[in-house]
Amino acid sequence: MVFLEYIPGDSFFHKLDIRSKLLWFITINVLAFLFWDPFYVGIVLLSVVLAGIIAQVPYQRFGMLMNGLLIPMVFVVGYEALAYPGQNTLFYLIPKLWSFGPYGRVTLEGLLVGLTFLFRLLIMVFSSSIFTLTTPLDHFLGFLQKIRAPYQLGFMIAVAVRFIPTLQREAWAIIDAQKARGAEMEASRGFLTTIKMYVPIFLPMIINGIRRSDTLAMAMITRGFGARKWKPLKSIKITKIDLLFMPICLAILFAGIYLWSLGYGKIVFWGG
Amino acid sequence: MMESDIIVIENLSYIYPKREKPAIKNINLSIKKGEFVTIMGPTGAGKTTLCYAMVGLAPQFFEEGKMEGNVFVKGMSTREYAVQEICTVAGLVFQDFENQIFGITVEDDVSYGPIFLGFDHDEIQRRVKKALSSVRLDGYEKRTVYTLSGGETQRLAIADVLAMEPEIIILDEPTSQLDPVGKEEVFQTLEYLRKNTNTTIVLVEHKSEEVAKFSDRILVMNNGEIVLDGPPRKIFERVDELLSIGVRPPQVCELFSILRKKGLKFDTFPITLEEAIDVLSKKLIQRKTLEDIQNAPVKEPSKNTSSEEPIIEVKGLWHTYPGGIDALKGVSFNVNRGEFLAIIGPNGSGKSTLLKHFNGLLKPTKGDVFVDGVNTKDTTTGKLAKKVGLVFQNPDYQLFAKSVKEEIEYGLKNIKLPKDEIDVRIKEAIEFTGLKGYEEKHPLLLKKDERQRVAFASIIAMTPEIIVVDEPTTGQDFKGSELMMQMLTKLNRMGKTIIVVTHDIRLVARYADRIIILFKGEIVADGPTRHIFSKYYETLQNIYLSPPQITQLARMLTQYGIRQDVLKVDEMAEEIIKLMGVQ
Repeated sequence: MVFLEYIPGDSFFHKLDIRSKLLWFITINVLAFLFWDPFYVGIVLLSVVLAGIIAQVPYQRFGMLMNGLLIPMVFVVGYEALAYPGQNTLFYLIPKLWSFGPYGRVTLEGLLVGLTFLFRLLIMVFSSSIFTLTTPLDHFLGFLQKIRAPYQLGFMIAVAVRFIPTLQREAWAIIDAQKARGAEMEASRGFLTTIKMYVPIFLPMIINGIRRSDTLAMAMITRGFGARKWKPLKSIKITKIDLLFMPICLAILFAGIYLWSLGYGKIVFWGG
Repeated sequence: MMESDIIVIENLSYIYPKREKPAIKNINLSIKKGEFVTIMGPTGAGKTTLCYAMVGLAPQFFEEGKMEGNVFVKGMSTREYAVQEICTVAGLVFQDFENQIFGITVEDDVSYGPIFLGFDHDEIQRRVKKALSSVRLDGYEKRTVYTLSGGETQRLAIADVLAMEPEIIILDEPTSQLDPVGKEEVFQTLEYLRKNTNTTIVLVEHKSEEVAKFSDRILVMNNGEIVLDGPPRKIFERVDELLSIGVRPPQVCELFSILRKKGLKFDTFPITLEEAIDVLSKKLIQRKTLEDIQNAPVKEPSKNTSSEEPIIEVKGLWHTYPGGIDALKGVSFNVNRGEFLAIIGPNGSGKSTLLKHFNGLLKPTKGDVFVDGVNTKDTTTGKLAKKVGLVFQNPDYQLFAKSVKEEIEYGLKNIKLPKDEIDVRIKEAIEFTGLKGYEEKHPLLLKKDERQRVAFASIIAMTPEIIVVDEPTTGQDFKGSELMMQMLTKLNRMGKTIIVVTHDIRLVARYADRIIILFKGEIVADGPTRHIFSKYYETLQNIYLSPPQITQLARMLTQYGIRQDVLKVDEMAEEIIKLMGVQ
């Protein structure tokens, strides 16, 4: 599971307060969207990869993400290369044949914009992964409390996360039980048959879920839920490294915005 | 109402929403402060409902349920005080122990109660620490809850309630889902609470041998009413009455009940192993010295009656899970056609891993498994399903259809049988499992033991030659367990090969021909049941699989001339009558 998975560690990023990491995340992503020149955006991407190394994110993790993103990446670059109204034609996908064509004009500008979009995609995915992989759930809950979100929200998230492994285990047990009754799960024979095939798995899961929620609700009220006003205990603290890190982030952010306002980082041969 | 009565129930009846029959009725009960009360009774007797009523969940949690009479918890009426107030006096540990845990880490989970009650940080910390040390989970604070074993999870559930610092703890079948190690852990925790605190304990439990040791008082429920109420000795004396209700008394009580009927007289009626040893050793004459016994040769097992034709061959089976855990380390054995084999061992010994190899749900990492001559590597689970029927422990992991009939049909359709054949098989399976009249009922509206039978019917309808059952009796009451084992015996007599994986050593002793003991992924012992229980007596005890009470009793009395390989109560009775006859 990628979402909300935390890898325990002791890196610089693990030590940062969640608010510092949030500021870093915003800075990175604002810069990535301000500039259009793939060279500028590439530098931002490089900094994110460096951050990933500092945060000790296992490189397989990036590999996994890249695998999943391969198709959208090819699509983004291809689409921009063809659709962007650039001036410098590189080649045509389908050359002129007598009176037919030419079709599929690929421009230099299009290719560069495509590259920018690709980099932005990677920046978003990598930076959010670094953020969540180095931040335990407790810090998220503490943050919710700091911004005065209703405490039930944090509690709800925590309870949901608690039951993810239980649900996974249950799903496997159900699949095994149905396979033992001769169900062939691997065979795919059209959309409707596939849906029919999964009914014997989803139905027990839903029903067990309802049973579970009854016990859970009873367990909560027999432990006093709703009796009095209560406050979650999670607290987060700004430390020295945050006091150092946050101004650096802000400085980079404003420097970036200033450069952008001066006109840096646009695609030079812009035109229609 | 007496000052010392902490729970007082007057004329209580309760009907769940959308039901007509009351779940409990005419309950009158007072429980004294500090008392240890055990509630026994068959499934559906109303035990859980009574627990809910004692903390106010019934009537408060279920909308439109009907309650008559009154329940007072330390003087608070459950009609007037909210569950959230009552819970500071009476805590409830639910039967479904996993789903009552809602924290991510152990510490989170225990602290929620005190947090909900609005205590300050220091008080919360104090309570968490105290509760965890009472259940011996100190040092587990940061562990995520899903990494805990069954016993640890159940102890955590108890700690959750202890952190509320209640005066009464109610536990609804805290050991029924656990393995022997887990059961032992929970009983030790209860023993600790009984000795070191003044907590009133109300326990719902089937394990009569443990109950006899530390209950002050036993309530027996049947059909929603309390039918017996008294100290353990008075209750367990009524062996025949208990058995007809569906409550199993300790084996020593069954024994002495038989002996009494045969006209033998004893001064007291023993209810524990120690008492039975004491009573019998006074009556019997010592015939052998301890040395004779230790030097006596162990008889080698005679060949069993099943054929010598292997139907399952397991050869050097290793199974390594992703992550490098070796669940099975070179296991080899044959299962012969027509055998009744029990595979036993503590949790984590590799039992479940082994059983999933029989129908190809798992494939060997090394080695081979042959089913009726076919290597499981060369076939699919779907194809093996016709030969090997695997019944899992929890029926709720497989029931999904709209009717019992359709549920049974599912597997038959999967193996592509013709329509008329399917109808015949459904009819046979329904008759065999005693589900006649249930054909059109919705499986999910049935009781748990009936759901278990539907799951079982759905497997045997596929007429597999080998029937593998994972924990056939967990969570079932005495009658349910007996029924399940009788069905398996009947199938065995029809020539089917039966393999059960279980913790229930008493059932193993009564029904299995052969035992394989698995420990840490290896076979420690393999042989005929009687042989295993006498030769591996200590081994079994060391891995918390204590032989049945009656076998233990025989073992302790061998110096008086009693055979040490006794497995059943009636065998023991015969032995004693024989010896006392020649006196």
